[in-house]
Amino acid sequence: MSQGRFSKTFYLFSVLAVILLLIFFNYLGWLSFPKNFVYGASLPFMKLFQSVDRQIAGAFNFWIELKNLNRENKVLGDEKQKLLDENINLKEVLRENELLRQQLAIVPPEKEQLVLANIVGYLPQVGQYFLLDEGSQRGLKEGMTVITANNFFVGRLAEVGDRWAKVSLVLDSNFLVNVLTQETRVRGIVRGNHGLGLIMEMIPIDAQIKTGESILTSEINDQISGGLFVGQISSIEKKESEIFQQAILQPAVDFNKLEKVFVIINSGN
Amino acid sequence: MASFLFIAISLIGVTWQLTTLAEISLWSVSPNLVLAIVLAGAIFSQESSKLAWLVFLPALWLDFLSGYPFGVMTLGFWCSFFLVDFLATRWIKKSDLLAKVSLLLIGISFFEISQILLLKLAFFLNLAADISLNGWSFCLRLAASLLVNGGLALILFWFFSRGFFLKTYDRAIKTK
Repeated sequence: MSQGRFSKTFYLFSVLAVILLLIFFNYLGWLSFPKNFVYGASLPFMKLFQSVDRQIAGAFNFWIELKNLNRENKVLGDEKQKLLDENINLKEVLRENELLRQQLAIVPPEKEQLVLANIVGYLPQVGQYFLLDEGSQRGLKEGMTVITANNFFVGRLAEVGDRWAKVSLVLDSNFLVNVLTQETRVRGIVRGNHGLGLIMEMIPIDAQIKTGESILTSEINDQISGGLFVGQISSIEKKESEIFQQAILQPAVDFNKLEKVFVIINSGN
Repeated sequence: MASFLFIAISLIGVTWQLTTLAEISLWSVSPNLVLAIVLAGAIFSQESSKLAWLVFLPALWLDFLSGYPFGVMTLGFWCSFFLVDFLATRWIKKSDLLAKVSLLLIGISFFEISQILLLKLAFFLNLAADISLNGWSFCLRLAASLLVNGGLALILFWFFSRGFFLKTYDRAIKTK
């Protein structure tokens, strides 16, 4: 073996040893300082790139969406009428609920405490993650639920630093969440379809679920709040030979367009 | 000065990968700039070993910022670099484009498979949750990765072979 090749191999193996040593240090929790440092140093660049991306994408999207505007306007108009009707009914139910609570002397549920955070990075690899610009300094902890402004479920905090946090998205195929259908109250489990959407599994074969039905998080999840909107059923796959059916869901959130999220630091339960 | 410059540029590059490049995706695979640099560098490093250390820092930054169990990315990049570098010193002649493209494809396939194996290992060591990946979606991912990252690595390789980065590096060393 020549001298050059030997030194190259030696170099390659020494770096490998350094990597293994770093993994060990991380296991002992000794890498929190360099991690915080790297996050701190990269945060301004992330924000800069994000804002430039949004400006460029905004200009493109304007022209692309312009041609769909009329059709979208009509659909939204119809939907508005439907929602207005629903809203009136719900207000009535709410008032009735408050009256019943007063009569039964039940304490109203506490309001959730939310922390607003900006999404500064996105890593759509095997695992699906967002990077946030808020961390333990604002009270964030691992496992906390992350939502959008309309109570749409996004995911949960996988790792938290001083001023940063990683969100494991519901789109991730390793992320499992107990859910139930809103109207038929059928329970199941939702997991990501490798970044290509969501799948609801473990639905009993005889359960009657409907296309277009809304899917909500269930109360039986360990750390995730119940009643959060996950998505809508877009198709149902049923095989007579199997004991479970599965449904393909349209996620409630357009993850590519998300800019800000809320972290529930006190679920109020 | 050169080292500081390299640390800053590599950090900006990784940040760019996590923001702008993450918005572009084919079958949910985004361009992996670090992987492209690693593989293009590995093929190029037979001509200049200066590029070999380009691998470690960006991979480490990405490991810090990604959601993977720590070490999975750096180990994956490093093993891919080592494999491609090893094969490149034996296979490639200076003008053999087909061999270079084949090596890039081997490197990308190896990286994608190594990620799955390392994540499985992390699960067995109780460091991460188990991953569920069916054959079809993995093949789709791999095809997209070969297309996207292979193209990116070829572009970078062209830059390397034009001496674009090396000239900048040499100039930085001389000013030091």
